[in-house]
Amino acid sequence: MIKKSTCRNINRLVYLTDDEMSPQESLLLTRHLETCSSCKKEHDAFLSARAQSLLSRQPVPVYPDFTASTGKILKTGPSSPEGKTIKLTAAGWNRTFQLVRYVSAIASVVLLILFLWEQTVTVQKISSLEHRVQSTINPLSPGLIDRITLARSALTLQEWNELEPVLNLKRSGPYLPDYSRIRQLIEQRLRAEQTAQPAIAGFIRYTLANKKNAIILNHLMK
Amino acid sequence: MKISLALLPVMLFLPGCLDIWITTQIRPDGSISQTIVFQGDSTEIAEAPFALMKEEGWKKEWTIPEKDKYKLVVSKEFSSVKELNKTMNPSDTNQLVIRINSSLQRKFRWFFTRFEYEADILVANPFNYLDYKKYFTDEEVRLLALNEDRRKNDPAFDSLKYKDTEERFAEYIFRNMYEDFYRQVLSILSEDKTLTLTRQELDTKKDDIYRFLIDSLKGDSPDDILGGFDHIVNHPDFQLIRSKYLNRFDDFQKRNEFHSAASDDSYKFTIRMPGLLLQTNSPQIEGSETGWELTYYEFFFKNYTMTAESRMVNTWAFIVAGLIFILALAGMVTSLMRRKR
Repeated sequence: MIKKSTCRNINRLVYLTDDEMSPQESLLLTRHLETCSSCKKEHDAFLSARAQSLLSRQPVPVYPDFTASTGKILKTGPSSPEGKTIKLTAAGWNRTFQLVRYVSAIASVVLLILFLWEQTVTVQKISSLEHRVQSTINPLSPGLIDRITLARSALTLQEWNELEPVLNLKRSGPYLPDYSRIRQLIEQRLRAEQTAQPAIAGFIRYTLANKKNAIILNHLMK
Repeated sequence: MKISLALLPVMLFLPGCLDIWITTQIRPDGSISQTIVFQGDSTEIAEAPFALMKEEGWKKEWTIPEKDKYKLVVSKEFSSVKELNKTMNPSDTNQLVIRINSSLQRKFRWFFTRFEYEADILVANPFNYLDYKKYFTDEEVRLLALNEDRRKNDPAFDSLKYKDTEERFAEYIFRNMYEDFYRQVLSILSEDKTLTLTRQELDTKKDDIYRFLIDSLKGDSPDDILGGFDHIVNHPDFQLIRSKYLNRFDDFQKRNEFHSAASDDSYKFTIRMPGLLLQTNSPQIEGSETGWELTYYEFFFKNYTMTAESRMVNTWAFIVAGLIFILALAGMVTSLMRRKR
């Protein structure tokens, strides 16, 4: 059927909704649709297709008062089902974000505790190992060094001569003992003083109580 | 039974004939590289008391660092400690070798991985019938295990007391060997019904035989020892045993030879751990390398255990933890900003 010229003029209005037309255009269309059944059929088909298309889409998050030229179906308030879906999606994101935040915070705290615990255990083990190794390579404590120095300074020539059979010393002359050897033996005995033979322990106590002898001291401090 | 008792205390503690260095490197993935160096006489190296000497798959390199002194370096890679144990502690218990049983545990601690390595040198005494605790105190066992230098510098060393310990040690060794030999003779007597000598008759002469073997026996072969038995017991069965059952004492002979060879050697163990060393019972430490210098007698009476523990950093764990921390920080900052709005 050949469209009348009025149909051709009004054709673009057939594919618009009320929101998209001015009041005059809306009035013009309404009057034409009362008289033209083909245009009315076309307009009804358009509205039905559009409604179906809009209903099948995922809800688009828009502001409730958004009313731009997108048609009547989107001009909906918060009370409509589509509005509720939009708001629920935003809330879902919010919840997810909060969950991630709390989980990462808890995980950070747990990992920090784990790290500190591991470091504490490591430091304890290394300290104990160093202590064990140190006592074998460097048995002289400051207190012991002081006592060795005292023992060195307190020996007299007579005491050297008395020591000879006990320490099994080798003499470098008729009356001069081997000072370096004596020093070595004294240091050795003081390191193992807990198990020193009684004669040596007695000698150490005796020498510590005696006065300094300058000649002996010079020899010992070489 | 090899030498006179008078000479034994001296012979037992002579410096080693073979110097043996065993280096074990543990890798972060649990694989192990082992290198063993033997230095000494070439014949003795070939007869070194380790199962690997007869095994394929080891990389071997001979050198002559000094005149008449040979050096053999053997090395092999193992995918796991289980593979290592198959060589160093073979399942065939009849093999007379120095046995080392190792274990490695890797513990994941998120930021670090801990490695706990333990190597047990199993009891090496090939004649283990008598309880050593009935002969020696723990302190005496400790002194016996030291080499001469360390023993003389030990605070607990007393030369007079130690001489007595040495004599008891010689007695312990010979008694053990004699016990093994004696039991073999008894088993032959019980199996062969044609032999008329009874266990009771032999038992009455047990101590006399022992004293004769220690004091008067010149030779050291099983035939010579059986001759000693015959000299004291004076029974025709021993002629029969000597002619028919001499091969029954091959095992005794091998154990005797193993003891003689292994006791002369010096053993130096090194374990290289991955990462930072945390704990060890080693007396020598250098970085993450631990070392033990042992004599045969340190694992003669009981197992000797070497332990080392280390840790390695897991870099990826730090990266992941860093990301989690950044995420937490970002979340905190975002929520603060929202509250401000």
